[in-house]
Amino acid sequence: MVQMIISGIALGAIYGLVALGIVLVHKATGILNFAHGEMVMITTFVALSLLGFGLPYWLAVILTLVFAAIFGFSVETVLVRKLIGAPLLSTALVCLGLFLILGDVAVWIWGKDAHMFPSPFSDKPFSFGQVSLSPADLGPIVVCILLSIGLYLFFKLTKVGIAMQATIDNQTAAKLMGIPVKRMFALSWVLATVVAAIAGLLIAPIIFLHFTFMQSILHFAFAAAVLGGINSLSGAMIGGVILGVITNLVGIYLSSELKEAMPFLIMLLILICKPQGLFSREAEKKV
Amino acid sequence: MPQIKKNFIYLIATIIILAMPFYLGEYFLYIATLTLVFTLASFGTNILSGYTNLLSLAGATFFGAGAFATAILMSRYEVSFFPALLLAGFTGVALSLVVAIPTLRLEHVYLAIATLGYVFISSEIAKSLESLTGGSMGMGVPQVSIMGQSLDEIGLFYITLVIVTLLMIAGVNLTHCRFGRAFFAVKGSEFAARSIGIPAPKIKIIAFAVQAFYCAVAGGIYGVLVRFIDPSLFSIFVSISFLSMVIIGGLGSVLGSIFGAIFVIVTPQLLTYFGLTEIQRSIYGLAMILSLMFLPNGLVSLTEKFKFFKQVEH
Amino acid sequence: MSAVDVKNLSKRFGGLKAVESLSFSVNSGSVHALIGPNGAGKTTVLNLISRFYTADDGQVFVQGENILTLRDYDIFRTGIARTFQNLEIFGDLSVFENVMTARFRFMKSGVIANMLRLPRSRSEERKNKDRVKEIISLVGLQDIAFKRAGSLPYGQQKLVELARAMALEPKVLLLDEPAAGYNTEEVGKLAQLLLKVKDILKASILLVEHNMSLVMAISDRITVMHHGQFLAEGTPPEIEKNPAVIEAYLGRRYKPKVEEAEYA
Repeated sequence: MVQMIISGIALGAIYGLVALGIVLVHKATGILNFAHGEMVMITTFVALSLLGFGLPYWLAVILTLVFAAIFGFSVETVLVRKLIGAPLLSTALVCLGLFLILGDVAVWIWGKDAHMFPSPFSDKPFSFGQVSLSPADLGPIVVCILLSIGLYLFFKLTKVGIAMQATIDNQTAAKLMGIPVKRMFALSWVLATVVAAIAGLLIAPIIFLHFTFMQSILHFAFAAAVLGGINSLSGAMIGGVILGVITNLVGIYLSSELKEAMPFLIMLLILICKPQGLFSREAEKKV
Repeated sequence: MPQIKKNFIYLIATIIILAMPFYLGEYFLYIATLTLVFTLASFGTNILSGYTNLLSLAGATFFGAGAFATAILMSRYEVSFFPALLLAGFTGVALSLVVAIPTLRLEHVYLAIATLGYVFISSEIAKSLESLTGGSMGMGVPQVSIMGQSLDEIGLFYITLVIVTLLMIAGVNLTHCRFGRAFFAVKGSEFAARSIGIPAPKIKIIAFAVQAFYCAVAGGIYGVLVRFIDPSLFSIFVSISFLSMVIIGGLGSVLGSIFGAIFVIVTPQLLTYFGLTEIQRSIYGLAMILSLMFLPNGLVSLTEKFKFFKQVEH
Repeated sequence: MSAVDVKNLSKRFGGLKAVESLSFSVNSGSVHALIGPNGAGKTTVLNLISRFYTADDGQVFVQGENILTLRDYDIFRTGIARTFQNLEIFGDLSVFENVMTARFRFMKSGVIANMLRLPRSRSEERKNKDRVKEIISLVGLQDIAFKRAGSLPYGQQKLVELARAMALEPKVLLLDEPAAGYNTEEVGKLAQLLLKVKDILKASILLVEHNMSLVMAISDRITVMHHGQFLAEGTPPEIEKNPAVIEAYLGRRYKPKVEEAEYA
């Protein structure tokens, strides 16, 4: 059972990372990026190709992150910039359009086969009493924790981070203070895509890398984001972990069909009871 | 344009459509029938997303449910086609209540996310109800037979034409009545609509129910057209394609729904002709994005230049 | 029975007391203005009465009915209709359709009856269309009735919103800054129109307004608010002369009407 909880935390943390990217973009630009999963998929495939060229793992990772930054920036510049402030129907449909395009691009470049993807963590388990864990189980959790701490420090301590936080909280005030708001939007997409790339690198070793591999995860990530609060960065990660643990436990103790439905059911539950999510600081709407 | 000239054009258009089985080969007749089917789904989705501005990704749920309901009623319970289709439509409406009621008070953002989940869930449910739906393998759909005679593709075309025409007339009536205006009112300013007595939650439920009915009927006809259905119908791509018909054709417009359906069905055919089938989805995606950026009122806004179309709407 | 009876109405937003124990009554058939500086809580009062916000305390009776227990889309049952400070017309619909939307609850045919265009639905539509045509002529918009509301100039859009409110056959009109954006001449025309509408509908008007000339021209009574609280109430001459009101709200630019005798 401890095993299940730990793997639930690990998987949940990774999916929470995906949710983090979605929440970051939504907080900063007000756009719900349905294509986020596909962007994860593309960056992970790029990593696969780099590894295929014989590059050592860590070099491939760094180059992938660079690609992710450029990728996020390009999408923001070409598409998103014009959409800021547009109604939900428009922004959502543009992201859905992007979803379709990226899917085909992936097939065109990398084909429809499933691929194995290496993990930087070794598989060899070591035991604590009854529990047998390997670095592959714990590694992702550590990465997510480090990333969360890193992002927290970024937003609290660095000049750029503070500026970005200001833009998120109050765009007009930020503009008046001289913060280059457009650059902040671009930066938020860059950051989100880089986070997404890291998530992809952690997910791909666990399930096969395939051009559709992010589609069911997207659903899970949205559920996590809603659970934690669509505007709460910390909520996304915590929501993911909670969801991961509950899903795993349900899978073991109840049924495996119910396990598949868990993200959906939990999301529905939250939307009915507390739509703002568990960790949201937003008060009721005022006009 | 004088009424006589208009009527003449309508007459020509009607003859062209009625005569299709005589000049289109089997394959293109199938495409025409498919276009009719998707017109229903396009119109239904337009009522929900174009007229009432509710973004729902659950369209595929109703389409698939309609397809399976029709197929199961026909094959297992030996219900004949028309009653089965009607029941399938009502199944869609019942399901729409499951989608609409919990999500009524949600802001648009949450509605979109919640509806994303429904497609996923219905796919899982369809896969697990193996004895009923054939599970992941899918099931065959019997041929439509009327009075003992099975219909061939020509018969199916005419039957579909009749069903679609009747439903579209009913649909146009809907857009011109108090409910049609209420949809636009809720979209324009929900809070002003409420202040003049429009029960916004009930209107939203009606919009969901209408989309569900039309998509379910579309699904039912689709099933007997392609003769084989599986849970892949419950996919986000299907929902996105419904939305793309609306956005490309024109939000809030019956004619727009028709244009959207024609675009979405005919384009892959053109692509196949040029050997470009693999990029079908990205063409939809690109068309959606280009529409949103350059032609936000859809293809139908292009027709405003031609006086003929001017008084067709409203 | 008063048209509107407000008793101890209160609303807080977090720590801010937007409206505090406000009480006043609108006499049947009269024009009652609610004035006060920005932030006094006037629009909040309208929003509370029309149930956009839920009051924390107090009661509001419209034509004897307790409106605070009703849902926002049922308030029309008490005979009340409102206009908005920031126009909330339906831009995509024509003028005619905008006003027709308010007739929704006057028709009874269901979805299916309408889809099949059953005779009853057709006759309902016709009757309501006729009434809407009358109302549109009353406000003078008959020449542009089929133009898209969003394409009209501001002044005409305001008339569309008024016509839409009138289509509810109200006995109480809640008007939120109807003179906003109007010049002197337009205000004069508006004053005449509002009085005409009031007579035709046999209604009462509760008016939230900044434009003092409109207020003074048509109001029978005025209630003055300050920081969410009641400050003063009286007839226009009484309010004009009320020292507390003059000092705080009418400002030094507004001069009370000079008695004609002084010019004799």
